[in-house]
Parts: sequence; structure tokens; C-alpha cells
Amino acid sequence: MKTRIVKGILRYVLLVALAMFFLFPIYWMFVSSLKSPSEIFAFPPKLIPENPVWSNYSKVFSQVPFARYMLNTFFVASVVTIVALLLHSMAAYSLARLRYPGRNVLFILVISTLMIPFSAILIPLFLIVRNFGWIDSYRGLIIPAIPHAFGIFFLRQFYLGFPRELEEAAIIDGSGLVRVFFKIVLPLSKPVLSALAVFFFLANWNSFMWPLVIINSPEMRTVQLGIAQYGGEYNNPWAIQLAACTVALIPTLIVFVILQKQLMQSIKMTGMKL
Amino acid sequence: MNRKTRERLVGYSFIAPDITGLIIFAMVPAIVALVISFFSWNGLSDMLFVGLDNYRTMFQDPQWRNSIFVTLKYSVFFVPLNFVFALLLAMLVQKPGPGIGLFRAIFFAPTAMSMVAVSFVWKYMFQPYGFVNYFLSFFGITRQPLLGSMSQALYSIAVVSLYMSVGYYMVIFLAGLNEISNEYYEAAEIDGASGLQKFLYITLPLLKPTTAFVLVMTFLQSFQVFDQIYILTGGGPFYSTSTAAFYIYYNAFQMYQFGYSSAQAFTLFAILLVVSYFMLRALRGGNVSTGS
Repeated sequence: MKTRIVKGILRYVLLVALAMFFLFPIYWMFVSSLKSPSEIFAFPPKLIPENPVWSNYSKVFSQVPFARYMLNTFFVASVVTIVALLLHSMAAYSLARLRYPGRNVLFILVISTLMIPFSAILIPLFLIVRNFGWIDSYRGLIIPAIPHAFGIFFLRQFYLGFPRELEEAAIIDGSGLVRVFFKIVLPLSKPVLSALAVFFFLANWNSFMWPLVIINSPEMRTVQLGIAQYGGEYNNPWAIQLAACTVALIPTLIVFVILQKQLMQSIKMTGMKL
Repeated sequence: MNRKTRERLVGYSFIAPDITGLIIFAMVPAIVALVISFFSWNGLSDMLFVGLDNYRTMFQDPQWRNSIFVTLKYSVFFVPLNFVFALLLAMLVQKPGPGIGLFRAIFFAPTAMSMVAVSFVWKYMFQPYGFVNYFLSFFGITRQPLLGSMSQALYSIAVVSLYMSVGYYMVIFLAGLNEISNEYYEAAEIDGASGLQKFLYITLPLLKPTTAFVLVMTFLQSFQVFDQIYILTGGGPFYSTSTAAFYIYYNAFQMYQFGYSSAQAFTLFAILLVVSYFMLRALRGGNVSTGS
């Protein structure tokens, strides 16, 4: 009995220590974003700034067009998410339910692209997109980000376990396959699609390497590029950049807090990686 | 049109957009990477066929050998520690209790965060007068150069990577742990097994498929590390954090040696394929899945 209590206490001591390690950088990002130039590298560091410099936040938006970066990123991430969900559920339904010659070959083709690491195809991808004239454009950010084998695979698993009866009833009533898919199957896929939507949105909001390669002009920058290539004045750059980081993190943390249970559930199901 | 033909038509047209996308933006680039690697090309001039010259240059390039060595060092540090901490976190939050859901969420939260933003705040904390050095001073450790040091920078980067990824793999391990039937533990308790024995003889062996998945995934991840490096050190000091993926990016998009960097990219691809194949074989024990 006694050892059990000791173990229980030890467990919570460890958990609290670890939680502090995880939360501290976020706390530090926020409080340091409010520091003045004299405080930013004060040693010992100030755990709470004496006079929070809230103007660091307005500088994020006035010195560089950070609102534009956010709008760019929001637009790109939303379009990729919506289009990808639609195309992947169609592809997955086709692979799981419809019968036609060559289906298995197509499935293997989809799965084999999972093996291709992004850093290995970065250069040719850049060249192809340049050939299409999509450098420095929304199309360049959006279209190559849509095809995603894991999304198709994930949804195919879902449709394999989807009850057939509903579709069959509708087909007997004389509905065509396309109608059945859009009127019955797609609405019933809402829970799984919303889990996937969180993944796609976060992955695209946080994406860095691809925008870094294809975006040149400042007004096309995404949020992550905006932080990395901060081009404002050099008075107190650390605090202002930390303020930018905080602003960039807020939407993802809101999404996370609302949907973290669903996120965990879908990772457990598939080992999905952002 | 009969029903069968219609089903085929719908089948093909439903999958056509995604297949086209995957061919153009994944399959073709993989082939193109190999083709370009036989050419000398700055991306603008005419392409000059050079056969295997890029590969020959690569094997003699001390910078490339250094990059592979740096990547290996990073991988050897990151993969085992990520495994240990993710499993430890999973075991700490597996059993229900007051507030456990909150702890799970806190550890898992970095999964949703931007690597760029998180790297940036760590970069700030790693500065000579930053928080990490303040924290170390409580343990009597004098000021460390961290990112400014050839021997410490890579490990500092790995700490950031661990911060970002252990919570994600904790969730994977949770799924694996929940698969293990309680009966094994009950039987072991009747036989008087200690906690350590239960962990070594029940948990670890039955977790093998999950372990295999986690090790292979983190290995692949560690060989492609980029964002953290770009933000934290830019490959420095003196190339001590110039990993393979970073060096490839540098050669292509800073030096405009597309042919040469494609040879490197293709080599990286081959290394990843071969190593993950052997890792999966070595760790094979049942199917390789997340345990679902």
C-alpha cells in the first residue's frame, strides 16, 4: 500500500517536471516577445517583463506585412485542405469500393509514392513547377501540396470498413454511383474527414521547406517564411520575431485545443505523420 | 451503358485527379532526380551530360562525407533518445488518473506547432545569455557556447527535435501499450514478477511491432532534418551541423549545382531505402504496423 502511494507521488512529480519542460518554451516565447531591448538579454533573465512592450506586436504587423503572410498561409492551407479532402475521398472510395481493371496496380502506385522522401525530390519538383511557370505563385504553393498518398491510404481503410447496405439501398432506388457518393457516402464520412482536415491544415500552415524554395517576392511569403526571413528594422529584432512566432502559433494552438482528442485518435489508427 | 461499364467509368474518373497529381509531383520527380544526376547543370544553361562524374565528385567531396557523418551522429543521438522518452511518457500517462488527460495533451501539443517558431524560441534560449545557460548555472555549470560550438550545436538541435517529436510517438506507443492484454501482467504478478521484469519480458517483446515502426519512422525523419538546422545554425559553425538534407539544399539553391545535388539527393534516397529495409527485417516480429 505504502509503495503504491510513493509510486503515485513519484509519477506526478515526474509528470509535472516534464510538463514544465514542455510548456516553458511557449511561456518564454510569449513573455520575451514583450521585453524591451534592455531586458531581452538581461542576465539573470527576467521571468516576467517589468514594462511589457505591447508595441512589439504592432511592429510585427507594421514593419513587415505579417497580416498578408497570415492571409497567404490561411488561403493556401484552406484550399489545399478542402481540395485534398475531396480528391482523396473520391480516390479512396474508388480504390475501396468500385471494381475496374488495374485497380490493384493503381493502389500499389499510390502506396509506393509513400517511400519517396521529400528532400530527395525537392530539386526536380522545383524544376517541374518552374516549368509550369508557378514559381512565386499561389498555384505553386497549393497544387503540388495536394497529392498525398497517406491521405488516400487512410481514407481507403475507412471506406473498406464502411457498411455497404446504405449504398446498396440507394442503388436499388435507382441512384447513380456519383450521386450515391456525394449524397450518402461523403456526408457520412464527416468525422474521419474532419480529423484529416486538421492534419492537412496544420501541415500546410507549418510547411517551410517548399515555400522557402519557390517563393521569392516578399508579398507572397507564408507565415513561416515571414519568421525565418524577417526583414524589419534591427532595433530589438529578437522580441519582435518572438512576437511573430507567438502570432504564428496562436491559430495552431486553437485548432489543437479544440481537436486534440480527434488528432490523437487518428494517429493511433494509422501512425499518420504530419 | 450497362452497370459494369458505368462503374468502371466512375472508378477511373474518381481516382484520375489524384493519380495524375502523384505521377507529376512524386513519381516523375523521383525519376527526374536520377536523370539530372548524370548532368552538369546550373538550372539555366544547357545541360551537359557527364555520366557518373557527379557521383565520383561526391565520393571525393570532404563536405559531403562530413554531411553524412553529421547526419549519422545526429541520428544515433536522436533515434534512441526519442524512443526512450516517448515510451517513458507513454507509460507515465497510460493509466488513468486525475489530470492525466491534460498531461497527455501537453506532451502531444508540439505536434501541432510550427518547427520554425519553436526552433526560433529555442535559438533565443540557447544564446550565451539565454535561458538555457541561466538554467545550467543552477547546477554549477559555467556558460556554454551551445549553438556557437562545433561540439555542442548538433546536440542542441537534437534537443529541439526531441521536444517536437516525443509527444507524437508517445501517442503511437499508447496505442501499442493498450493492445497488450492485462492478463499477461496479472499472470506475471501471481508469479511474483517485479516491475522491471514485467517491462523486460512482457511490455518490450509485445511492443515490438510498434517499436519497429517508431524506429524506422524516426530514422527516416532524422536523415531528412532541415527546418531546425536552417533556423538554428544554418549548417554552422564550420559545417558542424550541415546534415545531408541541408547540404543538398545548399548545393541546389545556394550554389545552383542542380546536377551535383541531385546525385546527392538520389544517394540519400538509396541510403534511406536500404537502411529502412534492413531495419524492418531486423525488427520483424509480426506485422509492421502501429498495432491497430
